[in-house]
Amino acid sequence: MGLFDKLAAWLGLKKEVNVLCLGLDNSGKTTIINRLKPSNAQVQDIVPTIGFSIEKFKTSSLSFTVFDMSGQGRYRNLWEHYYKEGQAIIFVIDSADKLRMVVAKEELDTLLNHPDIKHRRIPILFFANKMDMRDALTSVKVSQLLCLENIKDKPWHICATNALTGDGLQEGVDWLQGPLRIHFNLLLSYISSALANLLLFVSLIPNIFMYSTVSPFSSLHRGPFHCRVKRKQQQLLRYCS
Amino acid sequence: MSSAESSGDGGKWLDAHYDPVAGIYSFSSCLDLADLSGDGENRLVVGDLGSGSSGMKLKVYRGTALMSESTLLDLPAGLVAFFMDLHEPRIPAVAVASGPCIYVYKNLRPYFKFTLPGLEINTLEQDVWQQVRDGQIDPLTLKEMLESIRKKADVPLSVRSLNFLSLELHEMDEFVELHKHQPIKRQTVITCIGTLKKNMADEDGVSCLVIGTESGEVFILDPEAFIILSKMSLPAVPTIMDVTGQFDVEFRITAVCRNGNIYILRRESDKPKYCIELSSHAVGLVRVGKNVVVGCTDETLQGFTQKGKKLWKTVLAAPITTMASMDLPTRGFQAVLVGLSNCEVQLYRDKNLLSTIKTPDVVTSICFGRYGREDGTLIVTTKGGGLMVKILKRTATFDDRDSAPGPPLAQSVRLNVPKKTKLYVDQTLRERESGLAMHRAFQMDLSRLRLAAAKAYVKALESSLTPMSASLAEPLKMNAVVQGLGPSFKLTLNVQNTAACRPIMNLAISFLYDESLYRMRNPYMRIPLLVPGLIYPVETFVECTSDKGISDIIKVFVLHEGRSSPLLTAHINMPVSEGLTLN
Repeated sequence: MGLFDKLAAWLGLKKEVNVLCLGLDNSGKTTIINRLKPSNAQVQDIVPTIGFSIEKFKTSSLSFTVFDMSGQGRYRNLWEHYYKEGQAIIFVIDSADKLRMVVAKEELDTLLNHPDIKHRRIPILFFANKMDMRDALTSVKVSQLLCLENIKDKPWHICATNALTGDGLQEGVDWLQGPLRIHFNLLLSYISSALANLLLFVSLIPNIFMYSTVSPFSSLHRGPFHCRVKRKQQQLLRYCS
Repeated sequence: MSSAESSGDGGKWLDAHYDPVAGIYSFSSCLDLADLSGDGENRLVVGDLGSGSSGMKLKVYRGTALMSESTLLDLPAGLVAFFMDLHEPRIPAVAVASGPCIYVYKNLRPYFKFTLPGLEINTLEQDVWQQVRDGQIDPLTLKEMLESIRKKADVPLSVRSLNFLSLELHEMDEFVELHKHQPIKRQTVITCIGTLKKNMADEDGVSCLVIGTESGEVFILDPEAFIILSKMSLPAVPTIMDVTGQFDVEFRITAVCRNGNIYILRRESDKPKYCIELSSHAVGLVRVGKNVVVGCTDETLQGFTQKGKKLWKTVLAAPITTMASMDLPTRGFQAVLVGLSNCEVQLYRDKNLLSTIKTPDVVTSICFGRYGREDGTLIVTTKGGGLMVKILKRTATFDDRDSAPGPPLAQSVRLNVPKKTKLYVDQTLRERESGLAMHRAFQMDLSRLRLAAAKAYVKALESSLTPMSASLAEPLKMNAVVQGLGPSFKLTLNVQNTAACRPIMNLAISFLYDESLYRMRNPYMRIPLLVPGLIYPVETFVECTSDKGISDIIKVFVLHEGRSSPLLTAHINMPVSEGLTLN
């Protein structure tokens, strides 16, 4: 990873990811985002979000831009307009609200079947929030009720959290960094493999001419990469002769 | 939690909760939704009738769980949540009507008890009990006297006297001893309860209580002082009430009464302003906008304007058990939920069925509104004591006539009827004045027409002009087919003997035609013996000699040898010869 990170830094690519924070009203989305921000930027009073708000915070390796969407029924039709931009989704569930678990499931199903989401391998992080409540369901029960086992084509993870104390949030964010980094590094590895091929080709040209001068033990202190180059050279030579 | 599709409602509702053994025995009038703790989450308040004689309870549900339960002293007749003051935080009180009293709960604790004023007491009855107290008469005499009072008095007896009359001889002494020192009271009983905003139309405005009683009266109570602000009387006992408006401005009380009529009371008078006479008793009353929708025992749903004009009527599949209003102001949607005894809840907008929800048991009460934090929640309790909560999907839409069979839409489009002309008006006047003469003239002409038709028919039969033979001796049938484009046509005559078993002999066919137009190969043909039932094709060729593209009729006669009048006649309309025009 370190190599890619350095390469990314060298290429000037900052790992900024857009995350959508979704969930029903009163599930604790804003509170969770507030908790994830640095302690000096946190606010005390959380009010129901109108429309949406944009929050930014950084972890050790990623810089998050979170679209904190309002969960109220009348604003939920706004969600789908942001699906395209989102590279990850945080779905917050009020574990104590058994009655509206079906509504959460309905909204999740609508989300997963949306054309902007359906065919993307977008990571989804579920926060089963309000674990401190007396009648809260466990995260296992929540994932059962939401039928999360049916999500086969996307990486997902569920965490039991308490946004008031911050319990479980870090676990979720740590998980989210994994798939996001893979997602991000996939892009980088395409670039770097293209670069490597170019280097290989360039390195081959002098080698053809230098064939007779290569010492027999020079491959000993060279890595497997050079062995592959060596094999390539032999193939080329056979072809030439 | 099964999938929403299984309930057959077209996937419009989410099954949030179903507890078949919740043990709620209640009616729609004893159900209400209110934010009882001021935290933005609505609770369900239920006045549970228990077994009908015991176990009456005030139950409060939060989400899927029972939050609190307290015992009620008497059977609840109605339950409403209302704001009685302007104090912060805005927490509504719950009023439970049972017997002659209203029990008001605040923060789910008993807060106030209001008792309706007593009714007028029969003076004779009072005198009799006074004499009993003084020891002047014994229980047997008391019984006789009370019975005579019951028969002729205008003012009915009190409950105590009625109880006394129902007793056996040996129980009387004890009863009299127990009760004779208390004064007689006659109490009425509350039959229905509603709320009426005092002077603000806000959702959380202070509301007055509106009470209908067994004595046929409607009281409006002040929410803070619990004094009677207004008293109105109805010709019968109200059973269901709908109240709208504001007490200080203008209000309207629509009361369904036990005599099968609906009375509409307004602010300015203490007597009903309008009356709707129903064909059968009402089971439910729901206001939709300015109209009221009434469900009747004859399995119909009827719509009326607020002045009592009937708008529509629709017949339902099963008897109605309960009704409730479905109001979604955020979507501008208003409809009526009707619980049927065939385990269905149907949703009607005007007379159109929008959607049907199947329930596992017969529905006894329906309540729609905000429950928890969800605006479109439907709460249903069933006959077996079950509680069911359904949530309307955010994406659900209701289309008119999506499932209701009925007249096509074009039928309700207004026709552009032209204005009445002077001629039309004159005609109408004339019709009104001399209707009798016109009818006679018409009947005369009709008879003449019939006579003319009959004459023509007889003539046709007599001269055998028909393709069916009328004579019984030679029952024949013939039809003719013309084939070809011209100038040469093939004429086929299918002759059939329709007699049961007698063959016909000695027949011939002859043609009559315009000789300048057609030429026929053999204009006279003999027909062989006709066996009954078989069809004999007789063929001949006709040639059109004209090249002007005109056609004519060829008459075919079936003749019997030795007789001049034909048995059958057929007229063949010859087609235009197209072969000539092509050449």
